[in-house]
Amino acid sequence: MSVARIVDIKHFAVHDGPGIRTTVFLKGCPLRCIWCHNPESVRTVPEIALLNRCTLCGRCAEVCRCHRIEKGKHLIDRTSCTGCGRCVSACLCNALFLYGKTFTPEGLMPELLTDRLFYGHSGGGITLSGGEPLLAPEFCRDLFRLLKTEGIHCAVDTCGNIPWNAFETVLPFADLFLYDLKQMDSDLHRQYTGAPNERILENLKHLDDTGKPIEIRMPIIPGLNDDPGEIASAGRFLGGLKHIIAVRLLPYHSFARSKYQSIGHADTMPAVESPSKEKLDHLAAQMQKEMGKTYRNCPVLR
Amino acid sequence: MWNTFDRIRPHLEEQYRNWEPNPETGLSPEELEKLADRCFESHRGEPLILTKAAIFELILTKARIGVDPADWFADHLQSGNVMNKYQGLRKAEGYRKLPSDCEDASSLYPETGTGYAALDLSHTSPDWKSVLELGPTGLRDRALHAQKSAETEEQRIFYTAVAVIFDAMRKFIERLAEEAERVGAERVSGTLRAIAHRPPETFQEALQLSLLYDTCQELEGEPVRSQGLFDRLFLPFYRHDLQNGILTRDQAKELLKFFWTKFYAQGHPNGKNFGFGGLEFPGNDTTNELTELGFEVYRELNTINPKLTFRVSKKTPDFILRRVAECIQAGITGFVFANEETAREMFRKRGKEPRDIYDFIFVGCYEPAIMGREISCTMAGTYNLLKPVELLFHNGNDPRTGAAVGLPCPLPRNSQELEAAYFRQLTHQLTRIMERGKLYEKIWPEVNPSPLLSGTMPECIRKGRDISDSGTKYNTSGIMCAGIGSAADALAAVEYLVFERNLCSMTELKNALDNNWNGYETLRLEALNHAPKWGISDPSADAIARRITEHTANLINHTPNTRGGTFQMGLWSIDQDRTLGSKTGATPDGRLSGAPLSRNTGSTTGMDRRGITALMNSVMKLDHSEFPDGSVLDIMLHPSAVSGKEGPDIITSLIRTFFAGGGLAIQFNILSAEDLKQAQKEPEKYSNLQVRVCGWNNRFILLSPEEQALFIAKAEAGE
Repeated sequence: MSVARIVDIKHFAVHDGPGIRTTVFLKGCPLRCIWCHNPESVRTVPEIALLNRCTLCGRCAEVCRCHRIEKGKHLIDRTSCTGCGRCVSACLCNALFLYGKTFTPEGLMPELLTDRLFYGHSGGGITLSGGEPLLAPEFCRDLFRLLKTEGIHCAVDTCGNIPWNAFETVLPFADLFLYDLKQMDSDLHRQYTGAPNERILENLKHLDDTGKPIEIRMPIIPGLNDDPGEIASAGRFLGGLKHIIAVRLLPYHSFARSKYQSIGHADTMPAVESPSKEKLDHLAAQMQKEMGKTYRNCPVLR
Repeated sequence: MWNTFDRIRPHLEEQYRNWEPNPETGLSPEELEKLADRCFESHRGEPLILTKAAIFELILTKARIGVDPADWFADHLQSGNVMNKYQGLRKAEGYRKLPSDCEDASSLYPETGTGYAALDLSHTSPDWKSVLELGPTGLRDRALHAQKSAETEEQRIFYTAVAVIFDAMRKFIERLAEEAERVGAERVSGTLRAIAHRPPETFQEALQLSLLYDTCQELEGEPVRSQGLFDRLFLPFYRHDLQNGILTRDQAKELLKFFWTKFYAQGHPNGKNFGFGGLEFPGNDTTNELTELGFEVYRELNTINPKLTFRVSKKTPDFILRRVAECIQAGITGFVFANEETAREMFRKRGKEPRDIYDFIFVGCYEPAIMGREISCTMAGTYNLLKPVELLFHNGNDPRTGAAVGLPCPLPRNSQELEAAYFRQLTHQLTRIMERGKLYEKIWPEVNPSPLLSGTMPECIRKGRDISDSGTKYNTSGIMCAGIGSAADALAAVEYLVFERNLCSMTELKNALDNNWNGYETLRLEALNHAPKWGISDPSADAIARRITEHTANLINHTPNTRGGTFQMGLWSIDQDRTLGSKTGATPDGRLSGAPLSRNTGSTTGMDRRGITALMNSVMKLDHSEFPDGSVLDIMLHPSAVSGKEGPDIITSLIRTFFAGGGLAIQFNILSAEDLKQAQKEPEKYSNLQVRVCGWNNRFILLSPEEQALFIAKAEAGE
């Protein structure tokens, strides 16, 4: 039976596809984007997050040797952590959270079905995101298969940097792909995300050929990929595809900084301001222009 | 003459505060009071309803009045405190004569934060249809005509009082017309002349009459809590004007702005309620061009008063619901959405005729009643659903005051005993509130007959009976039940801490509560953060809430009142979550002594940790057709959740989902904690930031510091 490690389940997700959705974040990602806003989903192993609600009561240390309270500080030995979650149950302040509980598709279904009335009335459904959900293609396929028997809309949010056959595994069941496009220049792509982009662009073309609707998502990172040349190049590329239903520009924000701290990862992103509304409007207009005639009615959202 | 509204809006908003009446138009309040005292003396011994009509006439014919030439409507009347004074005297006299049965329900209960029993004169709405179809002279003549076939002296007296009072209203309108002519107020003089003698024909006449009726009823002493279904009542007048070239659409919009600004300027703290939408016989949707115009004006006004009720059915067109959702998105949140389907089912269960149900309105905030056929006294009683939890720990005594407001009882030893003890205390207290309420109802005719309000009601005219004497077709008495979330949390916490996890004994838990959790911090954290909660779609907490509401509805909805109807359960709290909470000690859910209860049907502040879909899933598990005195859910959304083009669709989806799931009413706040904190720092920059308080709106910066803190906590919990 297929299983996957789940980072978190977000209800009332309204930016991950149409309508009101529940987004399931899978753990593990083939990229290492320096601006990553979901650092908790990067590694495949379970991780404990320590939130600033901790009152240093020490109950977690009583149940697990990985926790120590020393000199007014809560220390976690992350290398020894097995992700058993006993500390989370012991914590009385909701200050600990386990990213990476293991689920089967059947095990996830009850929670995903609780909001089905909302999906039905909003045209929403389920989105699998991450991390990279297609690192666990069988799990995605099996979960989608169950969801489709309940008549629920299924979307995949992917970075594209995976073997093509992972797409083929979920294609029969997925209704929509949310596809990240981060950088058109492969060298820069490697520099910012740790991997070149040839496979990503190739997969996107393949996916377009299947006729599935695709929403493109471009993170707009000031100083890295927000120059007009970059947008022009992305726009031209997209203009050559046939099944893009929307392009969404996602402005960089610094909300994730506290998440890095909570899971003990180094924050790789230099301090930058979020792009202004004017800047986004400008980029959106340029994108719209570059995508050309085929996409005159394709919305560029921001 | 047109396009002046925006320029003079500040002046209009201050029109009552800055008003200096012209002494030549009538008597000063002091002179009026002297004259009224004499009138009262000379009428001693005659039926109160006639005295009331006489004093009412005296004020409307002798008090100082005013007309503003820049305004499209006239209504200024310096009535002083005369009517209030006599109502107060009669109440005091009536209450003195009350027997002492169940007296604690109106003395000890309020003191201990249990609730109260009262005479509720405050939640009424006239038959607006009769008012607009007949006008004051028509209403007078309808009473006089009925008098011809009166059988008893009592009926004859009733009809006389109604005729006197509507003729006084006619005289008042004529006086305003004369004053309008004197000051050269051409905009209003013709309108006033017309409606003094005949029913209204134009949009302006209808609005003017509706305003003056409102003024008169407020003077009579029964606050008007619904202005009726606006887009139905005024549609014929609006269409008449457009067809006859009397008004353009833009002019109608401007008139409505002047009209609505009256209610803003009057400053009723709970807002004036205008209804929209819904179904009409035989089941078709009524939304029309006036619905759209109304919402458009409301959006342009960006006001906190009036407040609007929108009846939404499966047949309500999406585009018009979206129009309102766009207002909500923009932070103009003075709306409550009413579910037509649940309301129908609820009224049907209460024995109301299917044809009558099409005319339902929300009286007050979200208390459903049939316009023109029902007096619903929606706050005849109030009750704190958390109180029995406190009592069952303290042998039926209120721990703060020592008052014996409950029944003696031993500490429960298991789950079954726990719930049985809870229901025993609850049943005891609610029964006393209703018994006490019945005594109040019996003295109502001696305290406050209402010939004006009764005179609009067709059934009162048919029977020759005042509303205080059960003249209307339906006569119901509401009991507001507050704090369902807190009550469910508290019982769930006892279950979890004592019976399920054995973390403490009942006696230890009682000690923790008696010490306001001091020294029991670990246990309190277990209660706060590990015990099941209402509002996170937790099966056990939700089942407790369901059992509490089923038991309470069963008890209340089947208790007859003395007016030929029954009591009715309401599941809401308005702002009494704080007043009742302030007198309730620490409770097993981790709540500290004096902290607010959960508001309306929502969760305890900060406890809806799993977002709004989980909150709504919990609330949808209750049977809202069993709360005929209303129920409502407050939704707090961060602006980013409803931004952009898709934002209004998210809001309409939430409404449609909640209504498909059986909810009765829903209202929204679109706020971020960050904005609210900023508004506290720089109030001058946030003077327009409005919040939906609990059934009405206010500007955030005008709320008390405690209320502001509560909103910030709620916003933070959702982020």
